[in-house]
Amino acid sequence: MIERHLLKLRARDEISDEEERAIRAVVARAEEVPADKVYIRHDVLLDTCTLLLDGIMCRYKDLRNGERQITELHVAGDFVDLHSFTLKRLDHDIMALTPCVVAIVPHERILELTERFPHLARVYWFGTNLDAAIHREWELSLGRRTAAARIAHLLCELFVRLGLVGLATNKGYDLPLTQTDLAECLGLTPVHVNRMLKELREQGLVEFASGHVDIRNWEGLQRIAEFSPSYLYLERRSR
Amino acid sequence: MPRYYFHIRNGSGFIRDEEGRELPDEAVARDEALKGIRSIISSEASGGLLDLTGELDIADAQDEVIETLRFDEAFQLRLPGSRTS
Repeated sequence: MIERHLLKLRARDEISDEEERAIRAVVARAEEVPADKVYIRHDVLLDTCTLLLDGIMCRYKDLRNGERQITELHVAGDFVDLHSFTLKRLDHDIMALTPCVVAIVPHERILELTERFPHLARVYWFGTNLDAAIHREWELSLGRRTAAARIAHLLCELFVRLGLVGLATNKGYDLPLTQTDLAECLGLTPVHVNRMLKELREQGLVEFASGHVDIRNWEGLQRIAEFSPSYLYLERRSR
Repeated sequence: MPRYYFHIRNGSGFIRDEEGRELPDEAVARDEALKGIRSIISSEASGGLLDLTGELDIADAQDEVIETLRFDEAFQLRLPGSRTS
């Protein structure tokens, strides 16, 4: 059930069999979440964390006029709110962008797990640091990258993150999001996203159609995005 | 909610909207079209190009064009030597 989560952890560190058994034991139950459902609302007191097993979820904040900014996308294997363990409530909402399956992990079990295995406390600390690194890279995109580079960068990031958990081939990946979803990640309008996707397609870099991303020129796409996977900390080392 | 499509014609050719969006009514669709035009132009403007020659077609679920907006209609234009329009 948590295979993708283990793939994600093991890409960055060694996880022993004993630690794996302990991680498997913290999951209380699995739940299905329909697409477009706001799964966790901000400022609600929480006593569980949510591990995404299948589908795509996002963290977002919005304004009174309905304008929404997605601040991170989550793929299978990610904890969507590991930070709720210390924060106890969120300053943002969490929504399912596609039909999702999640595993519920009570905070008290994370407490026991991290007390029993201090190494796993550091592994999960690393996890929240990684989310922060992704947020910083998105800040750079939102503040400074051109529209075309923003889209290219997001498509590069997802290629690497989905590949890590076995959800991408060397040619591309399924991404069942709408152009409106992408626009809300990128701080653009859907009309603008459509136009920029056409530009990237015509340059022979990438095609996004019918929920699938087809990487046509990986080198070129990284170049226009100024993408370097360094912020995803892909090296395996003891944490 | 009805579905609306936003097709664009400008210097770089015709861009079909294959996906469309569900929106409450035509007035909201028009607002979204204006926002879309403005976002494209502001991005181009920051790169040094101000090209208002494009058009955006709003089409309904049957892909019938219900309104065409010229890009310049999305702006209040003030140019040197001209009166405020």
